[in-house]
Amino acid sequence: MKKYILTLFILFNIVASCDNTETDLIGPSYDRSTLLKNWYNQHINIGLSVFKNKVDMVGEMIDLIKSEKSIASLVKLREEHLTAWKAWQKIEMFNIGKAEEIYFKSKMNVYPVNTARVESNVSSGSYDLSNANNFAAQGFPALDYLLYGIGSNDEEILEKYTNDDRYLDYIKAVTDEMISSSEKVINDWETYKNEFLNSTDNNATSAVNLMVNDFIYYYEKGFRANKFGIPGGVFSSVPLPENVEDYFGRLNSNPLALEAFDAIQAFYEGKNLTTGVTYSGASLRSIITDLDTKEGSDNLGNKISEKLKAAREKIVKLDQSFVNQIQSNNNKFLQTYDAIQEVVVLLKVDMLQLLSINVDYVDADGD
Amino acid sequence: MWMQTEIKNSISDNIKSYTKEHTQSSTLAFFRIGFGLLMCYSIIRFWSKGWIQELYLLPDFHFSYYGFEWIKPIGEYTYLIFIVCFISSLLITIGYKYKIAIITFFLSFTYIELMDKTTYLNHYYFISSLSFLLIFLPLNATFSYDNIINRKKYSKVPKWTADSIKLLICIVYIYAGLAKLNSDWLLNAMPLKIWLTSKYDLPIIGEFLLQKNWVHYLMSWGGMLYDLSIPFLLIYSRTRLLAFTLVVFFHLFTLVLFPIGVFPHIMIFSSMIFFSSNFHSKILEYIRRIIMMSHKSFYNYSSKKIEYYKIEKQKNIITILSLFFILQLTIPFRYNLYPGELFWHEQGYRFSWRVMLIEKVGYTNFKIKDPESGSSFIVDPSKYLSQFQVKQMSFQPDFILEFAHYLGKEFSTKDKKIEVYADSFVALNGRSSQRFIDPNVDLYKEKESFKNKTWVLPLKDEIKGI
Repeated sequence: MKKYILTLFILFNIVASCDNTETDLIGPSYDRSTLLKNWYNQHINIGLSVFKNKVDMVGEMIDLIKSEKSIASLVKLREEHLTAWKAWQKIEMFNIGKAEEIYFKSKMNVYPVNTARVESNVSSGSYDLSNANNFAAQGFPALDYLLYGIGSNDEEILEKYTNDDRYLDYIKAVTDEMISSSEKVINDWETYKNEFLNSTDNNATSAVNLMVNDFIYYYEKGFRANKFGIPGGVFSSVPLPENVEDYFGRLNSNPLALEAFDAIQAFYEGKNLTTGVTYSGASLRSIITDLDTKEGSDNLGNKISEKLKAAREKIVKLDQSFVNQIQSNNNKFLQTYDAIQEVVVLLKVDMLQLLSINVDYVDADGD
Repeated sequence: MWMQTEIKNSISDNIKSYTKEHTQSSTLAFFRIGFGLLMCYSIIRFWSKGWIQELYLLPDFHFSYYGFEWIKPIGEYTYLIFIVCFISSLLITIGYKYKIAIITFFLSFTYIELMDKTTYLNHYYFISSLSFLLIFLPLNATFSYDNIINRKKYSKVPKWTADSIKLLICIVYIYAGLAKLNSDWLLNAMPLKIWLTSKYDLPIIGEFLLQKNWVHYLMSWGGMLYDLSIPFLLIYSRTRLLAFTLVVFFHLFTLVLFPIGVFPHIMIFSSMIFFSSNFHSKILEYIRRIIMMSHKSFYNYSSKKIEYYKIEKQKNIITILSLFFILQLTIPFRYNLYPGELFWHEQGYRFSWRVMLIEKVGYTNFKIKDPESGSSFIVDPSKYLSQFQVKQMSFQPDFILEFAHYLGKEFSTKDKKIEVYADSFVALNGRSSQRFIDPNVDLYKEKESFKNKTWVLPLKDEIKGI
């Protein structure tokens, strides 16, 4: 019997030694714990604290307009709203932990805004912003409506805030809710951080897998579908420009989309969220590049990189206002969508195949 | 001429004398008890994980096997089918009304498997096939409640009864082994390379061994050699112990590595049928003592001991089972009737003991087009299907076609028949993704059949082998 095992063993070794050219995978670029450290230090933590400052500024401007009801205050408030909205684009993808639990994303950025709901909340003065029915009546899109959409010009809009306090009360309530949600998420990271950094396993609830899934989901839904597909009419027979993110302000849909895209690229490539400097250790790209045995431009890590670049070039060339772009030349808008879509295929098919993320829904025998 | 007749005669003589050979009935009883218990466990496990609800009650849409579209989950009553299946497993275990119990088990289990092909697993097919076979075998000849009722028990059964179970198990292993003789498995260690690498979180071996290239090849080749040799090692008494050790080691290893449910338990148990009947008798004796300890009243029961169990209509049964085995042997080869790469188009892939051979990921959306106005829009399947259904649908052509028809009906009106196109990409065994379905074919016009699906685009690569 021993002889038998020995023969088998030798046979295996012969077979195995035939192919020894590939190097083993474990290395710094593949290490899940540095990956999580990088995600926390270079993206989540930075993004959240920048965002908190910006959203606090919106709160201050609300106080300003309360004490000084002028066009100048309105303009300042709008500026801070845009800055905070841009900062939001950097962190929307991190729908994990407390953020997921309190529906942070839904409370911050569901669009199109439900204007009828906003108006009825304003006039009744009684509402519960934690109620899911009010998700589309708060957050940045609601502010967009309250700052640009409630009158046909700036004077008319300002009038709404001077006539009585109902609009002012509502915009303050919405902003306060945004600030307090942000505080909840940031405070929770203080304790969640350790659990997150140590959750390197490959199972349905590990941080590595949740983040990869969040990233893909955000790219496909939050970015591709919400910002391009839905308003462009990919999922309906006709274009729906009223579904553009900043439908009432109208001038910044492209900059907002680019902020989001830069965050996506930084996350994928392994670059600091604000400085754009490439950091050491693992990133999504480094892991994929290592896992794929193909070389050069065929390597999946490089392929995704190239397709992302190509998509960005198309976005840059679009009108500042997506409403204008859709109305003047929707084909160009849809071609941009297609370029974004090509990355979805690489992420959801090629990347998920290589990562073999465990979802564990049911038994499988691999067929 | 006379030589041919002579050979014919000698073959038929051999068969005749073989059908007259006998073996201990304890082997069949042992198998019956183990099988029944494992099935009970497997149903409890399935239920307690909430899968009945998740797989059969929550989804609005179910994928059917061609020809079995009429078999669907029946709402809350689906639980009843599982209860029936569970009770019949219990009855099989104790050997009460064995014939009715095994027929009920076969029908209820197979019904469950046919409700939605999303859940297709080779080991479920194995259970269905095996329970069909068991209908014709006297598994209640001894150590059964039926013996007490009928006041008869038998010590010997025809040898072919136990052998036919062994034959089915051998077929499973050998066909699984043959299927591994392909260039992806042997030359690229695919898809094991992907799966093993992703197990970096396993203690001790995960970060080190499973990342090694030679380990991937070792396990691919080892798996192939294991499948092809284990039936012979089990049959031959001198290597049986080694074989069983290998079986236990191999299946426990797969249990740790892959989410394959009760399959390892079933295969480990099944291989024990190759042991000598003395072993089975000893186990039964052990069980008997335990029962006697707790239920002394059993001493009062006595059954008449009869030596040979005579199978009624043995000729007919042997004919049916011969046909069954001929089908088992030929069905896995039906893929040769289809052009192109089997792992890619999967026509003839199921019901062939092709286990763990492909890692496939797909992404499939559907375009609904109004032929008159030319306007179109994209439908995201996750609005209609469960996450698991989406995953399975995205890379299997028959699923894609069936769902395209569902959408076609959904979006067509009385006056207007819309067109449905698939926007589909699939990656296979570490290859780059490529377009899977011809985007210019209106799938709503295509019919499901056994004919080759011409709208599946060919794989831009070749996988050599069986």
